[in-house]
Amino acid sequence: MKEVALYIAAGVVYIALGVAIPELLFSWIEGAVYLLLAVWVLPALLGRRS
Amino acid sequence: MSWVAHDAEPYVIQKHLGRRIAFVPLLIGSYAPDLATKWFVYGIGAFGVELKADNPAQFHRGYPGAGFTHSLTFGVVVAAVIFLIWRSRIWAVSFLIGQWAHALTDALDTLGAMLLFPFTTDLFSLGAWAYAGQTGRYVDAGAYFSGLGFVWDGFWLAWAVLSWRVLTRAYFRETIMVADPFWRRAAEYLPETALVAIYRISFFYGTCRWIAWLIWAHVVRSFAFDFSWGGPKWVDAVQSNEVNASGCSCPSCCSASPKLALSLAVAAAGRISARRARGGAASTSRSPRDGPNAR
Repeated sequence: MKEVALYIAAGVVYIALGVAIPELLFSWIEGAVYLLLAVWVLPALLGRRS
Repeated sequence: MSWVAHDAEPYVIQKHLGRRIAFVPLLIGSYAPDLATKWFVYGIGAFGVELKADNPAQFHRGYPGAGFTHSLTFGVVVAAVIFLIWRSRIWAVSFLIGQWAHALTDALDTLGAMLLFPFTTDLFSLGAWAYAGQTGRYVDAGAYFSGLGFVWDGFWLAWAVLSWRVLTRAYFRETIMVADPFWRRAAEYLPETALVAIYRISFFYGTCRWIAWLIWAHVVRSFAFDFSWGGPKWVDAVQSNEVNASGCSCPSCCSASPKLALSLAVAAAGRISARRARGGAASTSRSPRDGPNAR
């Protein structure tokens, strides 16, 4: 459930960014990097700190 | 062209084929026809130099141009190369299915695709929504997300959502990793969370883009919805016959392609019937020693 919430939150932010800066929506690579940062790298870094 | 269907289709196909398919080549196949050509259709500028096809529609789907990437034959040829290099039937078949899904989906717009190239340069088109790649990325986005194109994408996204089990970790462990050694090798370097995220990227990207473009086209901008066949009518759509007409119309091309296609079709039909006849003969010539239960 926590994982699904993380993906939904990442999606909401990505959609908001995409609507504001549509250029972002053209790049699959940027989308991929964003998703990896949002659901893997950042949670792992935060988990290490706490 | 389709903006999101190529992201969602692989997950639906994955759901139906399970371990008989490998996801990575399936996804690569689904993107392959546009992978090296789309940037030149819309144009790209750097250091004051603008690179763009003179006739984007012709370049994207036609001949002469890169339209051969949208043919069913292209999928077969690349799949054969994959098989010859890696000796992996599952990788070859998966690529083929993904590429065919892309080509057939693109045949739904007004421009269509040269599905049977090189046997014919005719573009097969159902004409459901307007092809407007030549108008530039933003007008194209506005047009696509105002007509039946985004409905088609929505259909695939809904189907992918209904197939949600393919997105779970359990499915990833039990099916995706088992079917394709790529993931087992990647698991030596990356944790499972990262691998699952990589596997889900296209679904995430497609879903978010679909929602974001809809909001952009109808809330931020005010493109008008038009669900008529071949619409929206307010955009200057390219029709398949416009690109067909600009193809090579010399007598040798006009006469050679249909003849070549017919010859190959007859040869293929002959092979299939010969194989069937051999199979039938084998099944009827069983030894009595096979016993009454032998089939």
